[in-house]
Amino acid sequence: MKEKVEMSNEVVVCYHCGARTKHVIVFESLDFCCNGCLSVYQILEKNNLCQYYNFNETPGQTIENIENIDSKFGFLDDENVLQKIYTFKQGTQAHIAFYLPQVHCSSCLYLLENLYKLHFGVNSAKLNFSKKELIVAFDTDVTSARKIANVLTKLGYEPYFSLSDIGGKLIKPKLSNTRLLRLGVSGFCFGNIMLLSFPEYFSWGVTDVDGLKPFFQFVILVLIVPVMTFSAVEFYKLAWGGLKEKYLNIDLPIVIAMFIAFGRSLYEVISHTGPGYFDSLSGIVFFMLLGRMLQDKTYQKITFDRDYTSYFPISATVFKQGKEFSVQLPDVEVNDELIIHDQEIIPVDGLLAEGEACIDYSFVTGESDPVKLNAGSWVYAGGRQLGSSVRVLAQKTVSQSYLVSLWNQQQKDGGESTQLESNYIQKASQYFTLGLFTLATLAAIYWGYTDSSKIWNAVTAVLLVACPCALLLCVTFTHGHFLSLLAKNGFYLKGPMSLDKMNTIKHIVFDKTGTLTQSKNPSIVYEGQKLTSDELDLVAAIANESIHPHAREISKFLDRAKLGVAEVMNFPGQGIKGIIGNHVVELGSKEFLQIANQLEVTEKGSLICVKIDGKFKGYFLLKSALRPNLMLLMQELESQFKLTVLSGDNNSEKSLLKGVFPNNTNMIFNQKPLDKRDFVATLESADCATMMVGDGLNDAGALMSSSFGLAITDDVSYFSPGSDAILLGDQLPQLGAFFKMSQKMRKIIWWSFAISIAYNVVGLFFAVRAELNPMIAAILMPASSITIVLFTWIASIISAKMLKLKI
Amino acid sequence: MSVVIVLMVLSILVAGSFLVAFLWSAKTGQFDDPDADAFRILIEDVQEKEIKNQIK
Repeated sequence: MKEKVEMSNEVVVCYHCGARTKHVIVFESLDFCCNGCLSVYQILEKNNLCQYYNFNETPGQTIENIENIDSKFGFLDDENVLQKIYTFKQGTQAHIAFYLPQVHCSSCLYLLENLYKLHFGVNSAKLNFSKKELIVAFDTDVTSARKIANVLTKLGYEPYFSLSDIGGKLIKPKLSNTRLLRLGVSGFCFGNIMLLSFPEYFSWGVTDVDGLKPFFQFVILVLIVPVMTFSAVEFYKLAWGGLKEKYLNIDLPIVIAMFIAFGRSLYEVISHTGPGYFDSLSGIVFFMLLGRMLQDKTYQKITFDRDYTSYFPISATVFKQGKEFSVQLPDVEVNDELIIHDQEIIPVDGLLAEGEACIDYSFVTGESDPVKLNAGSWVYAGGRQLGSSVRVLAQKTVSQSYLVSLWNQQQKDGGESTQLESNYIQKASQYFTLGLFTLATLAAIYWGYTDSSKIWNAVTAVLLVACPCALLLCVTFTHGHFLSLLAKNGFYLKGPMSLDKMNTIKHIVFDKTGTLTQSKNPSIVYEGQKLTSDELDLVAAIANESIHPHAREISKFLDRAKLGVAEVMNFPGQGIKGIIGNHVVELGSKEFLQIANQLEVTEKGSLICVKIDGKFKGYFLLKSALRPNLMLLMQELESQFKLTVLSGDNNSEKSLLKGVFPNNTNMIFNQKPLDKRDFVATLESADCATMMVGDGLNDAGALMSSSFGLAITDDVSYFSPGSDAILLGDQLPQLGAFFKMSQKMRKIIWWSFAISIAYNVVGLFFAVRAELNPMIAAILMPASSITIVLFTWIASIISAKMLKLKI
Repeated sequence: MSVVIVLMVLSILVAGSFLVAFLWSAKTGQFDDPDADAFRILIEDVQEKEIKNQIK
């Protein structure tokens, strides 16, 4: 059966991608919105993979710009690039990991893992769903990485490569699950040792009649070995690292306590004076590992140490001696002539040699309005070209380009030492350790006078019971709960210490564009002659054909079903003209529609004018809107912090901001990236801990200089330079609640300290009297651990509930 | 009482086999991507189904 194109009077839904359309391609009584979607369906049908459509309704991606895909992956033919991308290569067998940002449902998984049926030469494909990474094993004699990339693109999963993929040092470390193994081993040993110790606990002074005791003790001794030599290694490493840097961390006293417990127990067992404390020892190791695991849970989707390389492309097209070459980005030289195609990123600063550029600097500045440039003007690395291809004469190399140098300079300046623990926890553990040694000494002195045979017993018991493991448990479990609670609310912290740092903040600096304003969803107003429903359809259809962000917003704003457009002429950066049925529709700037002298608009914003059949109808005014609910947030923050707004724009939107911010807010306009950075650095040097709230690379300097850099983003997979935390844009109004959470976290940690110390006091009561027997230790240890785990868990849920956060 | 010893050795062996199973599954990356595994289990292998149908 052949496909047939028809205009439907009713809106239908595309079987493949779910787009609503009136312009239907019917194939085997299924509706499709475009040839791209149909061709994917046909490929799947031919290969018996139509199960794809069974798992989810309309799972596909709308296929756009299917042309020129072949030139896109030219760099995949370059042997040097391939060497760096291959994760495995032997003979003709190679493995490549493709990052596919479009992966979103089980159908994707099904289709991608069946790639071997679609493309000859692919041996297998395995998708890591949480990382959106497809690992393809293929035969280099039969196919190539470039061909596979093309196939994936045709299916709607365009692989994404970035400069960081080939950047020498940034070879991705294999995710180690050693900690999981350590936890498993310690759990096994802890459980069995506990079980084997029960006869000892419940012997109530009965002597060992059957001679079983030595055997039990022998097995316990065997079981403790892997705990000490494998599971606990992590603590030794951290303690040793702290010692080397002359810094007392919490791991050192823990390791000392562990060795004392081990040594004393070993002595007891060998000398037949007692059963030892192996049960408590293995339990402590198990709980501490569990806590650390919870705390250091990583967000697979988010990378904090992303830098510009993960945004830049892997290669550039260089035009030399009449031919186009694909050149790896670091090898681009000054005076190379680069060809920048539609939707490509400009990799180096340069002069526009040929063509009219329309450059979207949103990644760099957060400003969504594209900039129009003529030949001869400067273009900066990081901008994205919209429209036809242009030629750029490179004036700088990648590493010397303005933004990259800004970034690199900052890296040099801010060589911040990574601190593992916050100050107050460090102090608490120091006092704790000090108090402990004093107590041990006092006990030793006392028994020295009364009964010197008990010195050894009392001292070791004191150190054993009150090992600061309890502190570590309080801290790690509380941090773990809070981090995962906040992540559920769209607030992703780099690490537990970041949350604690929030408590020190005194001044908050906001960037305007992209942070306070939304790059998406501008407020759109239509002014002019009223458009009929049919005319709205026409405008929406034309807007839909353009890739210009403004046209996209209008198309989204009108939300009409698609009409087929017979003929389209795109004038990148100016407008678009198309024929639909017997109407001619034009959309674009007032210069493009030649009505510049007829139209006077005083309001600030971007104008998109509409002409239908040569008649001017009206215009759309697009204004970047402030995020909703900011006023409440600012009122909440005002009482605790000093607020400042830094904006790269002029002060035309001052009145808008005034409506949201309290009166005493400092507002500074016309700030360049360097000015922002210097402003924050000045605050910091005046001992005023600052939180910088910003987005985009232009704020990177300021984010890094601040005590706490908060990156606002609408997409977590986006670039977030130098930040301590990432916050989803629509969660910004919750910032006040997040501050309160960080205060609550401190309180909860102190309370759980108190609980564990209460347990310790009981233990110490027995210990200093030299009466601590293994059973008391074995009851106290898990009881205190479990109380702390439950307490921190319940307390963190209650605090989140009180602040009306998602749980 | 030697039966206690036998039982104890047995119980540790059983528990040990679970530990080995856990270590093996962690080492071979079976905990790396639980989301994908949850989907994978729902996907029937079409080829097998076809072969079965042909046999019938």
